[in-house]
Amino acid sequence: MAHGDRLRVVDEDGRALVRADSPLAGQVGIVTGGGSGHLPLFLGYVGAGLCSGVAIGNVFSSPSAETILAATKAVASGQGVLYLYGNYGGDVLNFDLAGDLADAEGIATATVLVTDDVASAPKDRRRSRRGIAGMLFAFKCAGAAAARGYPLARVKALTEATVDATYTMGVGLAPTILPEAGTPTFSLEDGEMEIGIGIHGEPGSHRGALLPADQIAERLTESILADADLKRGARVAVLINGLGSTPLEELYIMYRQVHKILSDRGITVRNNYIGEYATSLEMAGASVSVLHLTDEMSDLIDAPASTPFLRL
Amino acid sequence: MAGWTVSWLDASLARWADGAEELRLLDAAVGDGDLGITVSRGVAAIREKLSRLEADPEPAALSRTVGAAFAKANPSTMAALIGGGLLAASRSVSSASSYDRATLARMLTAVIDSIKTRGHSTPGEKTVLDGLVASLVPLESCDGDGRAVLSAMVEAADTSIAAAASKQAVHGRASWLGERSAGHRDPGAVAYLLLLQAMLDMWPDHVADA
Repeated sequence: MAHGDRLRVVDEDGRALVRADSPLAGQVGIVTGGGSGHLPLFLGYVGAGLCSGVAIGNVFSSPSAETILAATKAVASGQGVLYLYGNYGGDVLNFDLAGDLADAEGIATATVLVTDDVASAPKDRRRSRRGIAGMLFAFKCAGAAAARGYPLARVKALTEATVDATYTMGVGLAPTILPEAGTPTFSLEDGEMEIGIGIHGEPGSHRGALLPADQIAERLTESILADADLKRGARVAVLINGLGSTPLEELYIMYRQVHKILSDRGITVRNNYIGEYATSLEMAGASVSVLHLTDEMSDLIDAPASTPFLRL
Repeated sequence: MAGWTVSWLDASLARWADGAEELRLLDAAVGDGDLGITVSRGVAAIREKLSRLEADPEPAALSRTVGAAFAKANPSTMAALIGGGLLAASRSVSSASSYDRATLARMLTAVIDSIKTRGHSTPGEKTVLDGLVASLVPLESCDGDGRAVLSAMVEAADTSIAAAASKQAVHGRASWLGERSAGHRDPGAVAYLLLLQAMLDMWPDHVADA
């Protein structure tokens, strides 16, 4: 284990990891998880000011309920545990079951599903959207709220409000190959791109000719603005996320354009994150996430957070 | 080993696991064939827990023990649905102290509701729910002793599962077969039927009613 001083393995398979200083007295624990293949998601978000524990499954597959339970027990301090993860069927089934098992052992749990992917369902079914890169904002706000010693109900409410104010749109330029399956997760002709793609290569909402980074950023941002109610004077946090093999240069070009579009509308970018925060193995592509900040969220976002992978 | 309830449950589970090979074959025809393993591993885990009990626990405690053991023994969807259902059953009877008919019906109802919610399914879609829902009717309304009620439950579940066999599966791997799934009984539902049958076979004669 590369980071033994900051992380501790708490199950036999090495798939449940928690902060080395767990459990933290008087604080709600936060457990996330999902399939592997998305680093720094999910493992990279375990640390001060973020999540307290993580359960990892096989590539793109849910962790088992027992793995989740092992992480839950290791971070539980008596204040309860928040499950915070992306909205995928297998993950929901196993986290719900882990919640039942934790309940049977006297540990209270609550759940917030991350549902930020604008392309995956229309606005009136917002809560059924998938969870992708915008999860970063939920981790930051939940982690900061827990670090302040807020009770479980309040941590849950703040995290839910953050998820409801987070909008992400992605674009895929080249697929990844699942190690076990050996075939690409989707296919694109030369010179094509897929708008609204999922973090596992799920089909997007639109396929079209490849565009320069500036124009891609514009397309993604316009989709977000059509969905989010952002008025002049609004303040936002912006995340430009690379999916695995997109050059950082292109992410910065995209950020420049996103910043310009938002500024032109009188929207202030208060915080920005540019880099690889949630990947899909070696998939080429990127996503834009926007969090519509309230004063309280701004406070939480500013709180320090660091893990062996990230300093946020 | 504890009182008669746990002894009977233990014997029934052992009998149930004897049919694991039949379930494996049934599941291999329409799914991935892991149902036999789910049952045999689950039974082994539950029986290990039962062997440590000193007296018959109250319904909530027994259901919690059984559900947790079954869920943890396997990482399969079936184990998660059934294990989660039994944990929900445990929560639904937290104040009950005896295994009377009303308590058992409340537990079975909780299992059904949990599987409906978590599995995003309704009865009639060729899943384990068909057997569960059909067997609830005699549990709630059939006259007679434990043997008579169990016997009626077996019959009701069998009829319902057989009736659904001609349908196409809409859930799980069997749904990938499309039309070819028609004609096969749902393996999960048959697993429940075999469990009921095992419980009937092992019903202790000295118990007049339960």
